[in-house]
Order: sequence, then structure tokens, then C-alpha cells
Amino acid sequence: MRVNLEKITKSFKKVEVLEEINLDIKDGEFVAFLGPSGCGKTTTLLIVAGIYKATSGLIKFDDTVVNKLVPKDRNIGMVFQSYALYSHMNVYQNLTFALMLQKKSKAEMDKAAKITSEMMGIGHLLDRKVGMLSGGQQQRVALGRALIKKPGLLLFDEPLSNLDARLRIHMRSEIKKIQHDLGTTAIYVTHDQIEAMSMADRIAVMNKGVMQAYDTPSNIHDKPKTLFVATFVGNPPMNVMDVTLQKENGKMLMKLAEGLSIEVPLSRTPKVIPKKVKMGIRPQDLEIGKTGGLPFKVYTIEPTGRDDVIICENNGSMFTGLATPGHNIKEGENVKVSFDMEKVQFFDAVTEKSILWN
Amino acid sequence: MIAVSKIRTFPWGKVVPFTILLIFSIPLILGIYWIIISTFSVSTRGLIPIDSAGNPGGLTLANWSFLKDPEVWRLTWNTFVLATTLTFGVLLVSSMAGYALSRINFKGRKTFLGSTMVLQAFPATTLLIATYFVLRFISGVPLLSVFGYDTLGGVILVSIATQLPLGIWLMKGFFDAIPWDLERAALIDGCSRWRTFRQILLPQIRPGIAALSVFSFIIGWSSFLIPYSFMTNQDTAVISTYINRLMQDTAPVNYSTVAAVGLFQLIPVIFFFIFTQKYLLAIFAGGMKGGS
Repeated sequence: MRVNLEKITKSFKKVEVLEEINLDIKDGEFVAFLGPSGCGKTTTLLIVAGIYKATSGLIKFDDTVVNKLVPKDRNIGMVFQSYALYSHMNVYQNLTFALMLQKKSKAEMDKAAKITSEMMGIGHLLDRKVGMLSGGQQQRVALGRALIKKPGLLLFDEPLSNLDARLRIHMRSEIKKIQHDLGTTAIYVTHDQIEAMSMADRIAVMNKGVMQAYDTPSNIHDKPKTLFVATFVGNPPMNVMDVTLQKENGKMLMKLAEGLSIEVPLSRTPKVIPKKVKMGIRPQDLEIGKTGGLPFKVYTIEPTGRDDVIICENNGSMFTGLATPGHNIKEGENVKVSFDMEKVQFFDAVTEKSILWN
Repeated sequence: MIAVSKIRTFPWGKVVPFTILLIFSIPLILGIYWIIISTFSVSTRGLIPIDSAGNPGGLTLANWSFLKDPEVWRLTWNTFVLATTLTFGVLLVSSMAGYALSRINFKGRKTFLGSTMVLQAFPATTLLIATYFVLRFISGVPLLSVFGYDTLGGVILVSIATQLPLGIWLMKGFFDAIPWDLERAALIDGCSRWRTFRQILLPQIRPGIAALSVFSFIIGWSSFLIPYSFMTNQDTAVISTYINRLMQDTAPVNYSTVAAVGLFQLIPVIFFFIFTQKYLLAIFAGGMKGGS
């Protein structure tokens, strides 16, 4: 099922929570809504589900406008953060509740419950009360309940937030696999960028009711359209600092500090240069050494196993870099930070939009 | 080798509260003890049963002879009807009103919640005269006269009304504790809003419903002021007004009989309470935790 959102807005009383959301989702695509809490991603999802009504704009499923359809007529399945299982029913009843409401025969319900529960690995739990299940099992029941109707669109509202870290990683791949195998279009709301990056075909990054970017994970990461996207996506987050860009003798120079300028390669030269520019660089794209570059003082070192996260300070601004364990950088030491200029990002400091990718 | 000695400290944490509770319970315990003793004795001196000559002893079943009186059973039936209809009425209105107040955003919602709270603060006594006029008015309306003055229907109506603020607030609290997602899931699964209410939400607040029914039943069973004020007809009286009548007899009051009727009235309440106290506690525990 294709999904199209056209100029969707939503206001609660007089507070505008969504500003003209435009979105097209292809059939079978897995789209993640990513953003901090309160950014409007769940509101958008509930508008798609038909729980909330959009204040204005059109919602289309396969070219049909569905604005006026009630949730049950939209052919959707939804998985909630709290699972929202019917705790007074057993697993079988939870799974087949929607089918029962559609007045399906007992045989059909049994068959569907069997197929779905086996796919979800909960076949042996059918007559358990859901309160007796573990969090992971409840999650599977919730997923099964959404899938059993064979919906045209699957909606996920932070479904993994309540699971422990290990199970979350496991369910992540499982949900992705199931979605891929069934070929069902899916919208997945999350505030966890790793979930969004690892699962989605495309990510819609949202902040304060505005869609900041809608692109593939690699483009979101490598070609961030706004400063928000650049700093929200990526872990550890991107470093940002004020710089000045100047053209000298046909070369583009980035002035970091008095007497310290670096040449900007052609691939990163913006067409138009605004007055105030912010430069962004990911921690993995800078090098911390003894010579050459911007002077910093090492603030702390955080080992993560694979890399050591090095946080340095210069006049109150913090910079994060990575180093392979075994480096000889020590806390409190003076270091020099140099950048991989092929990887830098430039943003207009006023509009916070990228001047490379817009 | 180090001797492992078990140091048993005196359990002050248990003894002190227990003692305090005991001290405050003594008057109640003595009162109940006196009722039980006096129902089975001719007379009592303090807490000791005595016979007519004033000597200890004199146990008798004579005080319970009122059970042979068919009137008592008719009054018991009336009381039962009052208590059960009150319970059902309160449950029906409170659950629906509580849902609406918890989930639906309509004009005047806050005002309504506030005013029910204020109404709850009025003792029923202050409203007796006004209620009397309302009931007299209803008596004059054709078809509605079953809810008029001097009818069981009227008493039930007024009793339900006085119980509703508590019921509505209680039900609203329980509905508030149910996550929205549960309702959303039901809507997506294909329920109408009404069906969601009945099949998904009501089962979730079962502890609240149980607590409110027990509470309402006990209130209805032991209510006195409203039946006493609005039912002068002895045919439709309830046990509590019957006890009152016994005490107002011109002949010397037989307190042992009064005690026996009182105990008779208490028995269902005690049994009811024993079996349902865990639900009653839900009122005070406030809502439930997830899971089963």
C-alpha cells in the first residue's frame, strides 16, 4: 500500500503541533519517523492511523483519500510502546480479537492464530493470560495481533523502548525481517537513531512539528540537510563550530582561528557563502594528534570497547573525537585536532540549513 | 571459630503500631461484643448477661423472636431491593459518566467535575427539605410517580443521586489509569467506541467496579436518613427505620431486641465485607498496576 501525506497540519486547541507535513511512502517501504520526544512523530502516526484527525491536509492510501475513514476501515495494524494488550484475555483471544470482530469463523481464526503465533514464536503460549508473559513475549503478541489481519500498512509506535538492550537488538532485526518478507508498508516511530538507521529504507527526521529531512539513512547521515539533522543523527554527535569561509586566490579557505586557515576541497565548496557559517565534522572524521591543527585540551576519555571517545575542550567549546584503544592520549594533555576536509559540513548559522545539500 | 549468634531484637516495628491500633479498637470491639451478648440475654449489666432477677446468666433466644414476624422479612426484602438497585444504578451512571469525564473533551467538563466535588461536600441533611419538594413534585407527574414521595423508588432515586459524586470520581480515576493506547488498539482492531468501552475498558477496571458495588451496597443496606425522611409508609420501610421504630415505642424499649435486629442487619454486611474487602481496598489503593 502506498501512503501519501499532503500538507498535513495538526493543532491542539490553538497550539500548532504539525506544520505542513508532506510525505510519500512507496509500497512495501519501511519508513522511520525519527525525532526527539514532542517533535510530532507520534501525532503524525496517529493521524495516519485515524485516531487523530488532521486539522488540514490530505492522507491518501493508494490514491484514495482516507481522511474520513475510521481506524478499523483503514486496513492497518499497529504496535504500541506499551503493547496495549487486552490483559483480561489470553494470547489466542488477543491475536484473534480483530478477526472475531470481522465475524470470521472459528476455523479461520484458529488457522490464522496458528500461522501468526508460529511466525512470532509464541505458538506454545496461546492459552496463557498475557499478564503471565515476559516483556519480549508480550511484544511478540502485540506484533502478531497487528499482523494477523494482513494489514496493508503496519504502524509502530516506539515498540522496542520497553525492552532490555539485548532483546531490543534482536527484535530490531526480527521486525525488519518480517516486514521485508511480508512486503507490508511500514511506518516506524522512534527516537532512537540507531533503530531508524538500521531498520528503515527511508527516514523522516522531525523536530518541533517540522519535517527536517526525508531521505535514505546514508544520505541522512552523510548529507544532512539541516544542522538539526546533522547533530541529531550520528553517535557520538557531530561537532559544530563557527568558522569563516573566504575566497583567496581562487581557493576557498576555512578560517578556524587567527592565523589558522585550511583549504576547502572543491567537493565541499558551497556555491553561496552566507555571512555566518557553522562547520560540522563527525568525530570519526577528525584526528587527534600532537602536531598540526587546532589546539585543544583533553577533557575526558570514555572507553567504549571498540573506540575511545575523546572529549576535548577549547575556550569552553567541546569537541568529540574517536581514537583506537592503545593511543597515548592522556586526560589533561594538550593536543592538536585536524579535520578530514572531504567530510566537513557547512551550515548557514542563521537558517541552520546546509549550504552544501540544499 | 566465630560463634554465629542470632541477635533477636524486639520487634518494636510491629508491637507499637499493633498496640496503638488495639487501644483505638477497644471501644468498637466492646460495642460489638455487647451487641452479641445482649441479643442472647434477658438483660445485661455492663458486659455480663443477667436474668430478670439480676443474677448472672439468663441466656435466651427470645430476642430473636422477631424473625417469626413476616413484616421483618418484608422489610428485609425492601432493604435488599434498595441496596441492589442503588448499586446497579450507581454503577451504570458512574461508569459511563466516569468514562466520559476521563476520555471525552466536552464543554463544561471541568465545571462538572468541580461541582460534583462541591455537591459531595454538602451533607444530605441540608438538602432534605429541598429533596422533599422535588419528590412531592415527582409524585404529581404521571408515570414518574413510582419515584415520588413515600415510595421505595423515590428513596432509591435520591440515594443514587447522593452516591453519584463519589462513584463518578472513583470511576474517572480508574479510567484515567488505563493507557490511551489500549483504546487505540481496540479501535484499530475494529471496535466501535461503545464496544471498546464495554469489552476492553470495563474489564480493565473490574477492581474499581467491584469496590464501588460493595461500597454502594453497604451504603444502601444501612442507609437510614433518606428512607426515614421520605418513606412514612410502614409497608415500604427498611430495617434501619424499623429499628428506629422499636426504639420509639411508648412501652419501655427492649434494648436486647433492638440489638438483635441490629445484629440481624449487620450479618449480611459482615459477610459481604469479609468476601470483598480486597476489592474495597482498591478504592484506597487507587487504580491498579498493569499485568493481570
